[in-house]
Amino acid sequence: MTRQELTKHIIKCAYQNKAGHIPSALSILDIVMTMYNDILTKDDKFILSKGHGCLALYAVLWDKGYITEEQFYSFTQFDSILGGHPSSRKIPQVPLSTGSLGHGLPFAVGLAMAKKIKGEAGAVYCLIGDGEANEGSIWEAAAIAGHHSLNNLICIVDNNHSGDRALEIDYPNYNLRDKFRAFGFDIDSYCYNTNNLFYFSNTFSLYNTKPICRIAQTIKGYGCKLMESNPAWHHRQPKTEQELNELLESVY
Amino acid sequence: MRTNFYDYLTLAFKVDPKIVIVLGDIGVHSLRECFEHDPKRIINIGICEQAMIDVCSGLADAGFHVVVHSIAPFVTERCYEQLKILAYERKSVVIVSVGGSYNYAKLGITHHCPADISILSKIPNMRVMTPITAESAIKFMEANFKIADLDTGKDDRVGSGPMYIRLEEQESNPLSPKVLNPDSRNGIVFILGRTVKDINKLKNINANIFVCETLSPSYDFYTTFPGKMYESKFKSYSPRVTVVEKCYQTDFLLNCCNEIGNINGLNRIGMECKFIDKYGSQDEIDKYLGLDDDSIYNKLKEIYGEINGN
Repeated sequence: MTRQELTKHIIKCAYQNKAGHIPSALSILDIVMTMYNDILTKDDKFILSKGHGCLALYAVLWDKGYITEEQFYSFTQFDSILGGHPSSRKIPQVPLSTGSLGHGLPFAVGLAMAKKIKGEAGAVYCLIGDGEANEGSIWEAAAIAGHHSLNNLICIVDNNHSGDRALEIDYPNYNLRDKFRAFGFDIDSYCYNTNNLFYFSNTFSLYNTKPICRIAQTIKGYGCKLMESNPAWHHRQPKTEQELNELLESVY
Repeated sequence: MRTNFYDYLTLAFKVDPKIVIVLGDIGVHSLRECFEHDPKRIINIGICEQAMIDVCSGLADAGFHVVVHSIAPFVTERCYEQLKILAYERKSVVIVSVGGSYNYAKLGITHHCPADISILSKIPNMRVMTPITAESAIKFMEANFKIADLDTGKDDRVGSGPMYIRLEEQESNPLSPKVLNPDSRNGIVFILGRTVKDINKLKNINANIFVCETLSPSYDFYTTFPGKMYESKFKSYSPRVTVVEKCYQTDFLLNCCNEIGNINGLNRIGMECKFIDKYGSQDEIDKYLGLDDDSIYNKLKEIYGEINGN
């Protein structure tokens, strides 16, 4: 399916089940699609640390055949395997139950360390949110990763510049690139949404000597004009069929 | 309850210049009047709960009446050590949560918090409150600040300290009674907070029924523990005691029994110490766990029977 098709399914699913963080899912949809379509190998692991964006992950898992359409549309229903945050105990493709922010990167560090100890091939990719980077545990994990030169770890930051707030947090010098570099990461070039599909080359290489941070400049609610950068939609779903149709029509 | 509490808090913020509100990236839009009124005294600190509590400690140390607010697991479990130190330092920070137990049913276990009451009650000097209305919640908050202002440091029991207030998703009707069947001599039921959504449904149960907004029986500066009020009645018979709590086991049963003294049997209706592996709505999970109002009624009926003799 195309990104637009998946975007519409995400919105419809959230409407049907009155659940889901739609804009947070849309800002990472391109990244997750690229991971599953172009990047991940059988030796790799992918952790969605910003678990509230899980509708993007579920949509891609459906597209790749790991779950069915029925399962996708059972999102947050009583007996569903798909909750408002992903559970590793219900979905085999999910290595860690995320939702509480700040846990995915330390876990990814552990997985990366395990690969080193065992001499295993493959990389560990962890997608965090920029708001999530408030958490101290992110920087504890970054410090460990840098100290141990975990060059098989790639941290991707969904830098969509907003959260569940009407007033933006305005931390001066909030520069993720400099921070990750200070903790011993190599910084990949900034990645932009291009041609409606998130693009970054798979620059993971055995010749890296440091963990990598890729900071993706994304737009919250990307792909749905009415939702883009609109904080009112953070954890809100369309309430009426009319509202749903307006959102679907604004998908581009 | 959350929305109404925000309204009360906004009024209190405007009246009390010592109140400082610290938000863990929730409630920002709802409290926008506070931001407009005095942006220096309301801070959205972001998603950093451990540092957040220590920041609150510093603010309280400077004499402010600090209210800190986030989702239950993050403002209790995630920063437990910081709360321990807060209590030891006797900082009268009021910690207000939403999403206790499985209020956030659809979001899964990372957002469930059935253990908050039990783990916080293990911290000395921490007061744990389970209000059934937003009005109760704000009164608890104001009372805690009043104690802090009057604290002479001489009496450990009524000294300053942090307070945890657990807001429920909905609130009870303010006209709902907190005591039912006071003349029954068949037994006593203590209900913690808003475990039962409509307390009037239990009026036919043949037992004294009390709704308690705290599990500390000796903590009576605002809510008098019912046991103390009816102590003379209980001395003449040994009641069978049941507690009902929609969370992991707390010391509520033990505290109630200590107040009653001579008891004749114990029961608990509440959550087992298990993760909830279902999503859906809170009502669906209530039914799944046998903690919806009808199931609670039936369990109490088995223990005590009904007033009309069934």
